[in-house]
Amino acid sequence: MNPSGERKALASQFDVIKLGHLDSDQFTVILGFLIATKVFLTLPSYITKRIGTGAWLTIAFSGVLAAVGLWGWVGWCKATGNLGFVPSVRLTLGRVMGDLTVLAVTVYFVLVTSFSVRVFAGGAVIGLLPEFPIEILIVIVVISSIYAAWLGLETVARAAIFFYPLIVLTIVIVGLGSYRIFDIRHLHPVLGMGFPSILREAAVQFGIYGGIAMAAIFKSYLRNPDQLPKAAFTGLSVATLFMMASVILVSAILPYPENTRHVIALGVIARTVYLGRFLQKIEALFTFTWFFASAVHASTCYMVTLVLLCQLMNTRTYRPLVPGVGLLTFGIAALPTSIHAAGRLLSAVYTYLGSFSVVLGPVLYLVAKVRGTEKAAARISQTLGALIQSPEYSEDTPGQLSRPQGEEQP
Amino acid sequence: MLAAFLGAGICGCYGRHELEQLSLVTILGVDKGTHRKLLATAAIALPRKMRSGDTMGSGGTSTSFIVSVECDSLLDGLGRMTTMTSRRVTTAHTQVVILGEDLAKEDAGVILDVFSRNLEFRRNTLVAVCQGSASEFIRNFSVPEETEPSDYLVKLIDSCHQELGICPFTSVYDFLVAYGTGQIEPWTPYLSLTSPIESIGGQPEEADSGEGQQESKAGDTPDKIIKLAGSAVFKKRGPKMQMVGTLDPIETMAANILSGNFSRGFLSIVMPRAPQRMAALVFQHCSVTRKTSIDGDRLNVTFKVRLTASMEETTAREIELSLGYHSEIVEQAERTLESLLSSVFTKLTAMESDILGLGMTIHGHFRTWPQWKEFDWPSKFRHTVATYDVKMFVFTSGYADSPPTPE
Repeated sequence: MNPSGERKALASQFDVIKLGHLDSDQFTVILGFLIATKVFLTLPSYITKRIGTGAWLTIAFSGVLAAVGLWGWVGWCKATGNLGFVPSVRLTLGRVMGDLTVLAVTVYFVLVTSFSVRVFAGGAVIGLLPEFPIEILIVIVVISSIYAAWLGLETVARAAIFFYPLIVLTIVIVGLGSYRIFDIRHLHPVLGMGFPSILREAAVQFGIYGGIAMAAIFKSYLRNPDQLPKAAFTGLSVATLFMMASVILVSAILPYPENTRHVIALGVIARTVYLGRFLQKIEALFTFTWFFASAVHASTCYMVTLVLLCQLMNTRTYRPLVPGVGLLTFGIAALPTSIHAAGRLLSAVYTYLGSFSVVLGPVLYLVAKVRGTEKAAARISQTLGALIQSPEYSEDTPGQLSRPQGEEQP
Repeated sequence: MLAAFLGAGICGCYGRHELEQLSLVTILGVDKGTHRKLLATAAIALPRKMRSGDTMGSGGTSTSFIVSVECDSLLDGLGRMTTMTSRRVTTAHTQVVILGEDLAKEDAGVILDVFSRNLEFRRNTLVAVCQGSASEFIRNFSVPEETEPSDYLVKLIDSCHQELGICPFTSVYDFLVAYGTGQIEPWTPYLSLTSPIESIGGQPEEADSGEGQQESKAGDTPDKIIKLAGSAVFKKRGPKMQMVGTLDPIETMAANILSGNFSRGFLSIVMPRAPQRMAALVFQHCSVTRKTSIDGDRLNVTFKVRLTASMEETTAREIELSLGYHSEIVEQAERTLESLLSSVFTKLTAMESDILGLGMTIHGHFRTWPQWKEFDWPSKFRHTVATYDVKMFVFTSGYADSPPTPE
């Protein structure tokens, strides 16, 4: 193969779909949404059921473990430079292992999207719209989210930036509006089921931070890659604090074990908000804004899924995949027979695939260090950079360049 | 796009419940049933009549009508009521649930579950217990001031709680917390019916008699209105929540002070050096700190009570003016209050009901939930030893200015 053919083959293998760029604030916010939106789902009840009043400490310790995972992801991102996620994994683990690993991460995001949508729709039906068909709610969230994903990564990021102040504001109003029944003493005994239980559960539950893989998946779409560590750790910290605050709010208003009886605990608290005689029974307003959180979460998950599938298939556009992915997630979301079943499935996904996603970062980083992937990645980046600068390069059709007539596919 | 989709669903067009097709229950009374488990009584609002401002009439009030049915559960009861009304009966705007005394003594917990599950039942609905039957109570009270009976009831409870401190402010939420945690027991306002004209010369006013009724109506005075008789104290016994006793209004004020929920109220004291004379101290501010310690199986609690007050009324004009006498009054007030607090605490420990929420303070001594459960607070409460550190700051004792001397 001549040098030009090699370069074209390289383009085919390592160049990835272009999606525009995120700035660091947008990156922080969508990572925050991806991790923290689960407070509007079953997380506060489920985690309190397992650890009692020490649930918020479990989230804190899980956050520390997730920070170790994120450190690995960030280190690996630095080692693999500005290459796309899937090519970087392939470069680190080899083609077969790399593709299998990416597939597992893709499955994680597909399942998280589906079950999260199902749980949120189930909660809305139980707490707000008891006569509304749940399938229609699922369709609404799926279509809205996937439409945002269809419009592109920057659209998803802008929607996240637009809605997050509103969502934070509603949580603050819910907290302040229910101050009459907020009692910090309900957080005693501080250690819940005991310190060993907290640590044990933290080791099991850190999968709830599985979304941190997004930091690496979107690494080639960051406007300033140097800001990735800061943006990612800020997103993780904010999300952790938000989840801790939500669990504390739930525990201080609905004391253990009363809070474990409610599937969507924040929704129950929203029902208790009393701002005045003519400003009560306004939970619909809060839940309405939480729809946006769910939709942004789902949009981000869709975007991640589409990026992974595109990079796996080495296509230049993700839009043909959108209907299929949408139908797939709707189908999976419609499968669980109840919100409890969906909650359990979501919990299992976090525990196994989420933990895998967190651990994967440090593992990739260690493998990259051992195999010297950093140098190979730098060399490929340099070649790819030169190719991109060359006049024969077209970002829309590098696949065609890789298979010119008479040339063997690498 | 999301807003457009959601707009179709959340605006209520789907599965809508039109307001003019609903019968709004404002007060719900629950008693033990004779043939079925419960007797549910509902005061259903008549919004059209509220506009006219007619506040009194038969059946308690002309702005509502009363329906009473025997039922197996509250939802069953609402269903049975709907068969008697032109509209669907809903509790979405119920402000107060009144428990009959018999039901409260047997098990008030039977009505709670629906508040956790059904969207139309709200946890911030107030709960009260009435003397005798809730059905009789709802049917017989008149509403002299408000157009809506539930408004009257809520304002009565609120003002007695806020201004006099002689009433607890208890919602279904408090019951549910008490049910779930075991760190606090619920207590509710205890209501009775009375004639608005107090008894004279030790003889009870015969408001029920025909003659009395005629006189009352002639003077636009209602037959019977609600009177706060104090508070009803509950205790969780296994799966049941049972009323175990009552506190009178003054005892209720003391319990409010001990639980830290007291802000305003007044206390009558015997004047030092003149036991035949009384004085009224009005409290303006109260802060209570509870310090607890565990010594083996023995529990100690110290109530550190700090109050500011002013003496606003005495039954005498000839009062000695000296700083020493002022101190005696303060000491007398502190002794009176401490004695009241002590007697109420003893009464509560005898009832074995921790309405003060001491469990919420005690469990701060434990690091883990298993340790706390093993400690078994409900069985320990009756052995708790209380000490009191009461300090009162009387700002205006009445001695700052000399009484005016007629020229």
